[in-house]
Formats: sequence, C-alpha cells, structure tokens
Amino acid sequence: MSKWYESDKCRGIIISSRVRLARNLKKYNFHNKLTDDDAQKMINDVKNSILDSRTVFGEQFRYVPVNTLSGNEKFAMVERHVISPELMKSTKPCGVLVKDDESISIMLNEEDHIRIQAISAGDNIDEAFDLADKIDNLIEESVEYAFSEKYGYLTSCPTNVGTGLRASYMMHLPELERTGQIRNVIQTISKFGITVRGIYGEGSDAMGSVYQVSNQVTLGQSEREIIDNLKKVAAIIVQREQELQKRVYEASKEDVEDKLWRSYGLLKHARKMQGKEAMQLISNLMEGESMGAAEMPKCSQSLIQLMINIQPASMQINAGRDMTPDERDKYRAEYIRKMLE
Amino acid sequence: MLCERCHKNEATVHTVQVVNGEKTEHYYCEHCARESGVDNPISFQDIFQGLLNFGSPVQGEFSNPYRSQSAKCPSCGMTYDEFRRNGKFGCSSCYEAFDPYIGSTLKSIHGDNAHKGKVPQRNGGPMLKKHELEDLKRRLVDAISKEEYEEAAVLRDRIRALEGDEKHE
Repeated sequence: MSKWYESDKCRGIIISSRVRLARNLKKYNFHNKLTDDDAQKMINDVKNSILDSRTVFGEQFRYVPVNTLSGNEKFAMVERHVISPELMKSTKPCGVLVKDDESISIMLNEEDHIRIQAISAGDNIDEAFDLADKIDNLIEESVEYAFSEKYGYLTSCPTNVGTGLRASYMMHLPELERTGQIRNVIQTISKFGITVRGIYGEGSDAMGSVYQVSNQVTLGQSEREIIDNLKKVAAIIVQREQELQKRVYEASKEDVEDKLWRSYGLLKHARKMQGKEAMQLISNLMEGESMGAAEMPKCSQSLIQLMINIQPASMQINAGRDMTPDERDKYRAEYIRKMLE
Repeated sequence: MLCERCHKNEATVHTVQVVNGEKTEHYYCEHCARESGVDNPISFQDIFQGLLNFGSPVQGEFSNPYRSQSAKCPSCGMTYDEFRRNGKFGCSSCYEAFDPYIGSTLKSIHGDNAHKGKVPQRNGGPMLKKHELEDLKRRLVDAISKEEYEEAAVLRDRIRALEGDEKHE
C-alpha cells in the first residue's frame, strides 16, 4: 500500500493537507482526570467502533498500543506525522488506529480521548476533511460524544472546543523564508485566526523551509467557514511564494540551476551529513522542482519522503540499531547517496 | 562543538532567539537544553492561562472572587482554581460547572462563544436542522453574491423543504 508521502501530488508548494478532529466520550473523565482502567475501557470502546464496524475501514485499520512501543518506534511515527509528539510522550495507556496507507490515524487518549487525523497529498483539504468526517460519524454510531448545544464538542483544552477542528497545510516556503517576508506573513495572518508553525507542530523549527499553516479558532465558525478561511489565506501565501520564485528564476536561470545541481552534488557525494544541512539541501532540490527547472536530478523517493526518512528515529529503525549523532550523520549521507543513484 | 553550559558533552541543540530584533544563539547538549528549559518554548497554553487569570466572571452571584475560587465540578471534583492553574477541564460537566467564568475567556480566544459547527447525530435532533438551515442560508447569500444562480436555486429549494418540515412538526 503506497503512503500519502510517496504520491506525486506532494511535489508543489503545498506538500500536504491535514485535518484533525478532537472528540471526547461523555461517559469518561477527560485525560487529566482519567484513571488507567477507564483509559483502557475508553480505548477499547473506540477501537471496537472501527475494527468491528461492518465497513471497509474495519479491514484497513490496525491498532498500535503506543505506550508499549520502543522510543525509536514512537519517535519514527512522529516523524511520519502518524502520531503527535504529545502522544509519544504519554505514559498513560494510549494508542493509535492507523489506516494501511497512513492517511488516517485515530489517536486514543492523547489530550482528548479521540484525535482523528486525515492527511491528503498536495492541495486537497476537502478530501482530508471528508475522510475525517466519515470516521467521526462511524465512531459516533457506537459511542456518545461529550457535546453541548452552546459550546459544541467539548474538549480537554478550551482552545479546541466547538468544532474540535484543526485544518492545516504543510507548505514549502523557501523564498518567503530567504527574503525574511515569512515574518510579515506570520504577523498578518494571525489577525485572521491562522497560525504558522514548524514542520513538527507547536514549538518546532521550520527545517528545510517546511511550515504548517493552520486555523487557531475552533468555536463560533462552522467547519466549512474555518476551512474556507484557511484556503483563502493559504492561496495568498502560495501566490506570494510563487511570485518570489518566478522573480528569482527569471532574474537568472543559470543561478537557479547552479544552486540546484550544487546541492545535488553535495547530497550525492558527501560522506557525513547533519540533519539540518541535509534538510536545507533537499529543500533546494524541492525549490528547483517547483520553479520548473528544465532538468531534475533523479531520486527514487519523493523529496518529502526523503526528508522523513533521514530523521533520527526513522534512520535508526531502518538500520535496526541505535546510533550516536556521528554515526547517524554517516548513515544519513550514505542513505541519501543510495536514493539519488 | 562542546555544550556551552557544561563544556563536557557534544552540543546537539542549537537555539536562536530573536527579541526586538536582537539575535542570540546558544549551543547546548541535550541534558543542559532540558535543564535550562530551552526545549520548552512559550505555548498557546501559557498565553491562554494568562487570559484566564485576567478574565473576570460575569457580574452577579458569581462576581465574588472567593465564590469562583471555590466553584467545584460535581462530577469529577475539579475546582475552578485547579482548572485555572493547568488550563484543562477534567470532564464534560466542568463546562457547566464553570460556565459563569469561562464565557468571556472563550470569547477572547475564539472571538465568539457559540458553537455553529457540526452536531452529533445521536443527541442533535432539532439542533441539526437549525444548523443545517443556517448553513444553507449562508451558502445561499454566498451563491447570490457570486451570481451562481443555478446553485442558489438548488439551495433555496432545500431551505424551503427544511422550513416546510418544521411547520408540519
């Protein structure tokens, strides 16, 4: 089963579209007042609502008890965006139902009982929302959600109450970053209830010029309004990035191609490479691709997939052993060389 | 490069902080990064807690600050004070128990404090219809403003059908 990040659709400025719905069951306390026993019962209730459902989903999902996994296994799931960093850190009973292509994951006993996440490759937020919405309806057939007429879906944290919806785009914004305009963008769009974060969510760095653009407001707007608002803002960001890229390309095609092939040269021949440098160089290849360079170096993976696979835990899982930072830098260089052959 | 704090371990955490245009950089090992709290930046949560502490409850019975401190959720036992400290509710009944104090805070976070989105099938019934009607009417206005009259006609018919149902009930 091919994964969303293997798709050709994630080769543009918008790499992927994601939707997350936060839900809680009425009959159990919320996360911080939930006993381990009740947590396990809650997990079983939701697990059965999917796995025992007489729908196609029943066969497509598998359950992973996250709190019993090794550190590397958990971390690698964060790197692939299957689970959140919060779920990784949890010491309580918790788990995730994952669809075979990793496009949908249902986190159980994160900050809320249920976090439904759907990811689609490229600019496709409507598809992601439809998927999450279907899963939401399916779960609701067998459980009763915590809901109030006034405040909507009740969540552990008041910042998610109402729709419980967080919609986001993962975007590659190298020129907005290089010119420093990204700071203006962040300030301006915050006025529209939209925020920008690094590649792995809250508090993370924007490695490889990859950003997440998402709604902050969850109450007082319908799901459709929230998504439409995000789409409008995202379209403006994409347009600005495209204009900057076009300007750079038209000013000097040779310079663009020089930067592209120099980056390729380093990636193709280096013997040791730190994560940050690798992310920057792969970002340069991505930019060449989205500018429409006449010729592109061949890579046997999509560039976003390469970015995921050179993260520390994913490499350690791949290698089947723990490595020191120095060993990882060697492994990373070797891995990238192989992919570019 | 060695960690600038302990000068023993390899520095693996690089932090860049820009405050009022002034940039400072630090290189720490993982241990010192955790100790000095650089891997723990200010979150939305922190800001939200600030809001809760400044948010004043509505006037009336609950405006006495001593009353609000002692408000307690009858279901999970969480006190308002506890909620204010960690910013998370203990169960769904907390929303009711702390209702007099949270309305204004929710409004300052979201700009609004009334739900307009999806309603569960299970306990939604009449609300479902109300929300659907509101949504259809909003889309109708939108379609008319974009001069999409075919779409508008479809929406108008659906609104009429829904309103018709209501009268029969």
